[in-house]
Amino acid sequence: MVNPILDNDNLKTFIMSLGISSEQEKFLLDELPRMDEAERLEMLNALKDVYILNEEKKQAVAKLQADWK
Amino acid sequence: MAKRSTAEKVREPEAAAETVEMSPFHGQEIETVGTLTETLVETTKIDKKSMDVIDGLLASDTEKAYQNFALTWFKNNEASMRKEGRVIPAGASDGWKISMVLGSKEKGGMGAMADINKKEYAGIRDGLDKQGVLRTDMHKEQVPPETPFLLLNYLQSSIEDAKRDLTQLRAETRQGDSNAATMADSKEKHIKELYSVAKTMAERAMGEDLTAASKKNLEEQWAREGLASKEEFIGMKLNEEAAKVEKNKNEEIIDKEWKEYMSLSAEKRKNYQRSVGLDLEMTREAFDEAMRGENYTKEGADKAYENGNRSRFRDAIVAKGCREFAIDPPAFYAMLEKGYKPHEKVKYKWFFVDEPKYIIPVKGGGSKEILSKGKAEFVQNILGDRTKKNEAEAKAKLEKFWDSEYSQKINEGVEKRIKELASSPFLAEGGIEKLYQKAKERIVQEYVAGYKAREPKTKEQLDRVEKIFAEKGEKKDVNEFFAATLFRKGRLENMGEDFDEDDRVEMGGFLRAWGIKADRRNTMEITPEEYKKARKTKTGIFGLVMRVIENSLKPKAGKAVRKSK
Repeated sequence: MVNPILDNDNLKTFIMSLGISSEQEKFLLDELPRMDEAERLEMLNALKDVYILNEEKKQAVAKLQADWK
Repeated sequence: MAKRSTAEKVREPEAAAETVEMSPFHGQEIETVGTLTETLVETTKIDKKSMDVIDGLLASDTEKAYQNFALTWFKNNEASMRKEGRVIPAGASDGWKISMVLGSKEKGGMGAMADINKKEYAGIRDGLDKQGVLRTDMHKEQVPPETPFLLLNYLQSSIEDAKRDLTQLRAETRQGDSNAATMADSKEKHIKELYSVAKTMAERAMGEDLTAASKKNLEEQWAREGLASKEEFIGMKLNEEAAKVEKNKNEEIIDKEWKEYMSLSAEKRKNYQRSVGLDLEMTREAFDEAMRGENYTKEGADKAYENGNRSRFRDAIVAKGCREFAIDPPAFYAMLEKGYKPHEKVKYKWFFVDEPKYIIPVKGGGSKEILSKGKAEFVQNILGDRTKKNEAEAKAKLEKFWDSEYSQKINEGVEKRIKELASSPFLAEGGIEKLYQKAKERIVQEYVAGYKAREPKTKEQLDRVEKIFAEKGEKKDVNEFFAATLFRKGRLENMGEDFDEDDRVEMGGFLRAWGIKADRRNTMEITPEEYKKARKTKTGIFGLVMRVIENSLKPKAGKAVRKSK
C-alpha cells in the first residue's frame, strides 16, 4: 500500500500548486511516474521548503499591505 | 497518548537533521528555510550608507511625531490648563509648549507622555509604531523581505514632503529671505540623499538596474518618435551652433577691442579713429539724446557703447580691416582674434624684395610677416583654423547639451520608476513575489540537479515502480498535510519548557489521520529529550516534526534509497 500523499495524482496536484517555473514543473511531472517511493519522499522533502516559502510569502505580503502608507 | 520504550525512541538519520534549515520567522508559526534566507539576504540586506540615512530620517521623524503629539495635546488641553490656573505666557513658543507637555510633573511639566495611548492620538502612535518596526526590521541580520519595500514606500513619502518644503523655501528665497535660501540648499541636498537611498533600495528589492532600464526606455521612446541619435543631433545642429559660437566670439573680440580703445588717452583715441577713418564714438548730440542725464565720461561712453554704439564701433573697424586686406568679415574677425590691431598700420618692407611685406601683430606679442602674395593663403589658414576651432567648440557644447538633457531624462525616468515602485503595493507585492520565486526555483533547481545526477533506472526497476503506483490511491491534499504539520509544530512550541514524560507526542495517529500507514518499526513519537534538544537547534521543532514524519514514511529496512552519484 502506497502512502497516499506519495500517490501520483496527489503529488501531481501538489507540484502544480507550488507556483514554480513551468519548466521545472514540467520536469517534475514528467519524472514523477518514474520515481520510486524513496525518491518521491525525497522530492516531497525538497518541495516542502517551497511550500513553506509560499506560506512565508503570504505573511510578508500581509505585513506589506498592513504597513503600506 | 501512547507510551513507548526507550528502545523505540526516534532513530534520526544524521543527514535528515540537516535537511531542513530553519530560523524563527516573526515569532509566528512558520519558519524560514535556509535556502530562502541565503537568497533573500543578498537582496534585502541594507547597506550601511542607506542604513545611516534611514536611521537619521526615522530618528528625525520620531522626534517630529513626539513634538506633534505634544503640540496637539497642548491645543486639546490649553483651555482646561488655564482654567486650573496654570500660567501660560502669551505667545508661548512651540519649544516651551513641548517642554511643558512632555516635562515631568516634578519639574513643573504636565507629564502627559502616557496620553499618547489615548484614542485621539492613535494616528500619531501608529506612525511611531511603524517607524519603530521599520527601524527594528532593517537592523535585523536577516531583513524581512517586505522591509525594503516598506522603507521605499516610507522614503518616497518623505521625499514628497521634502519637495513640498523645498518649493515653499524657494518661494521665500525669491522674496529675499537669505535664511530660506540656505535651508533650501540643505533641503535639496537632503532630497538628493533620500533619492540615492531610495534608488539603492528599489534596485536591490526589485532586482532592477533603474538607470539601465530608464536608458533603454528613453532610447526606445526616442526611436518610436523618430528622434535623432546623439550623432544625428550633432550633425543637424553643428552649423547653427558653430555660427552662434562665432557670433559670440566676434562680440567678445569687439568688446575687448572697445576696452583697449577706451584705455587709450584722448589723443591716442583720436589717432585710432583717424587710422580707421570713421567715427568710433557717438557724437555728443547723439549721446545727449540717447543717454539723457549722463556726462560724456569714460563710464558714460561705455554705457553708450552698450546702448547703441557697439554696432557703430564694430562696423567701423570691420569695414576698415576688410578694406585693408580685401577680405570678408569672417576672415577679418579671424585676424582680429589672431592679434591684428586695427589702429596699427600695416607696415611695408621694401628691402631686398620687390613686393611689400605685411607685418601683422600676433597674440602674445611679436608679429607675423607675410609677403603680399602669401597674404591670401595666410588669411585662409587663420580663417580655416578658427572655423575648425569654433566647430570643435560647438560640437563640445552640443555634446554637453545632449549629455545633460539625456542624463536629465534618464534621471527623470529613474525618479518616475522609484515613485511607481514606492507608491504601488501591487508592484511591491510583485517584487516580493519575484524574490520568493527566485528562492523557490533555487530549491527545485538544487533538487533537480541531484536527481539528474543519478543513474537511470533499469527497465525492471521502472516496471516495478509503475506497478506500485498503478492503482489510484485515496485523494489527499499534500498542502493541507503540510499545513497540519506546521500547526502541530506550533502546538508543540507552545508547550515551551514544560514538556515532560507525560507529554510525549505520538505522531502515528496524526499520520494515520492522513491515511499514511507509517512503518511500525519506525518510532512515531517525540520524546521530552528530543523536544528539548530540538528547541536548541537551528531546525527547531518543525525540523523535529518533519524528521519524525520522514522517518516514519521511510521504506522498511532493505528498501534502501538509491544514492545519488
